[in-house]
Amino acid sequence: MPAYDELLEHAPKINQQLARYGVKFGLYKNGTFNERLFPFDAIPRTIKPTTWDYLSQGLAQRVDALNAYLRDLYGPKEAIREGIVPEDFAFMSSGYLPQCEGIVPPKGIYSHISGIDLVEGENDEWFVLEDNLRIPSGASYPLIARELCRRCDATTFLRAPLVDNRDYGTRLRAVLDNVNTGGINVVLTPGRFNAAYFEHAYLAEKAGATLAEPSELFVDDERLYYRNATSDQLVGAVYRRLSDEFLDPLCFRSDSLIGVPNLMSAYRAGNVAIVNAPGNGGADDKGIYYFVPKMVEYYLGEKPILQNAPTYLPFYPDDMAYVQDHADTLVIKDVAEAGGYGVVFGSSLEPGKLDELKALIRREPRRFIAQEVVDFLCLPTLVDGSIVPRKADLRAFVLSGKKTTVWPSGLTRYSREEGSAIVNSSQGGGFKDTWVLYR
Amino acid sequence: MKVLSFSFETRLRFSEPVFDHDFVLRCLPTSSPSQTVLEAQTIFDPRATVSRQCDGFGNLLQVGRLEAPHKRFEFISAGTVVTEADDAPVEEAHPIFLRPSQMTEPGQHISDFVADVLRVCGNVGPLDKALRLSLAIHETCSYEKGTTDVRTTAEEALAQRRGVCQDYAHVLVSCCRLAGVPARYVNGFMVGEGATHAWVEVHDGSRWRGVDPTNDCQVTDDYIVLSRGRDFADCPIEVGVFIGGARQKQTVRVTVTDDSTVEWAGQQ
Repeated sequence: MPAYDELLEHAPKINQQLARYGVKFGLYKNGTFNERLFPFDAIPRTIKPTTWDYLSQGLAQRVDALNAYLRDLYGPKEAIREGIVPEDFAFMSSGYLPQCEGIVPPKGIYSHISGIDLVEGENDEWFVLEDNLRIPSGASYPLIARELCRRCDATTFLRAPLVDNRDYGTRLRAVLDNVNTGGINVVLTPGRFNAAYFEHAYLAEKAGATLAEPSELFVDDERLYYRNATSDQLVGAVYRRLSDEFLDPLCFRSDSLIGVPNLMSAYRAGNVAIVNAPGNGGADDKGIYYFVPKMVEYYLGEKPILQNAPTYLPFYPDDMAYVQDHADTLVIKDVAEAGGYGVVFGSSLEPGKLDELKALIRREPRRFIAQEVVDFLCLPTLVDGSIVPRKADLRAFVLSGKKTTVWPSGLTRYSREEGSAIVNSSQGGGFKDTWVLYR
Repeated sequence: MKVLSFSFETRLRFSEPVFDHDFVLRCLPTSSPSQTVLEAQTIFDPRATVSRQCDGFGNLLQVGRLEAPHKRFEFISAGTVVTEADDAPVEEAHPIFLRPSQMTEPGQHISDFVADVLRVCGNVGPLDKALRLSLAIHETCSYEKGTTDVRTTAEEALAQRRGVCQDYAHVLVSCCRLAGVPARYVNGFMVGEGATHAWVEVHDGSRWRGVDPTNDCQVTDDYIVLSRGRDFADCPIEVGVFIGGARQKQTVRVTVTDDSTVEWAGQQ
């Protein structure tokens, strides 16, 4: 383990700087919107070179399979016809958008930037917990934290054998350039009042793309333009940071005021790449997750390198029986909810509540998945001056350009409470830098 | 078989000039085994660059933009279609047409209503089920303009037992799906109707069959299909957004005439 001790004394200063830059995120709780800072812990997570080789191969494989599935889902539907992914799951997912049927995105890539959430169990064993193929956020946090750490304490980074991660912007740009249909790259942000505005602006700068608000874009004759003070510039790729339903009021939610009218017409005509493609929610649903290892075998003819956490689908009678018998030891997830919401540990429920949940699962089997509780590792974390163990996950950023590669870094999130296994930033945890070591 | 001529005129008037006006129209029929489009055109005033595309439901779109300030926007589509309602092709129903959609999510009213109808009609085929539901809707609801708007859901319309063709169609779509019959929402024209019309297609196990709950009948050669979707929100005939705080007034006129001649029928 490389030394990082000197970094710790700089932690308060780094957190101050993060606050100054506006590195924060927003969350909805009890119907109100709040923004909060995302606390940074200076003790990095380190990943050994051999582990990283294994992880990055597995992640690239997984994302290639997910892209193949999306091409199939909105195209020929072979895996569905063959029952690899049952119809009930493929089309009943709320992220599946029939408006996207038949559209082939530039170069056939749907998920250009994928955020895959993993946890590490005992004995260097890793499990994928979730695939995020819509707008996985968070790459800017470790990027800027590393930048600030280097500024505070350059020596540590001279000594530590860690892979440089400062090329994320270059990688992002290569991904956008690869699918660009002619024109500039833009990062589309809902605006400066959005909680993730810092990330939008930061990534645009790092990738050499133009930061645009919806009102600065328009579509004419099946082409997307950026409205400049002096001229209108053709846009070839748009890295959009607003969700599908708000993207185009003439195709999706008609009450969206932050969309670009007829963006979908430019996209349908093949005149602009939308990064990530609309409709990707059809493949990152908690219910579809179960089928990803099967997709790897079906589309790539390979054995999956990475494993899922052991998962049961009450949709299948055998799994339903198991879930009904073991609900008290499982974690139950509502497939319609995201961001750590709708996640219930059976062990935390009183018997009456547990019975209610079991009855709900019997009534709506498609709505839930159940997983064995993965006892994942704690990482040393500095809390109130002492180093304590905290559960942590890793969001890896997988970029699909000419090839699919994994950014040698990632967002490590830790839980706020001791023992809590919910690490989503919307549930109040913090983050760490992730050091991928070389030999 | 019938030869139908249609003309569809829409006039939009704005109280103040509007600009950056983007629109999508689904006002031209497309050919299928049950309708052959001999000719169909749209004329725009003011003139606009319009491109034709196909949406995810197979509907023909006309997509355009009027950038300059304008106080009115008019378009007329017209053409001739040969209809043959019985020639619907054998095809599978996409599973999404069995699932509730935004505007057809059933609530207590729809659930109770469907349960009541199914209790009486017993174990009949999908088309018969849909026809029974159509009859029940027709008897329960009264056609009243101004009691609903384009955002009214199936559940709301049935609760108040009033509405227009869009509401009748939403209620039938919602009921059919709950009864296990795939159903989709259809926009189009009908002989003798001075506005656009909406009805339903239900899947009978091998084909899509048109059912019109407003008139409580099966669709005949008097109908021209313009667009289809899970519900109205998927396939509006005209939708647009613009910049400007104007009030808008829309007038629509539809004429559909049966051009099939008696002589022609006599030659058979």
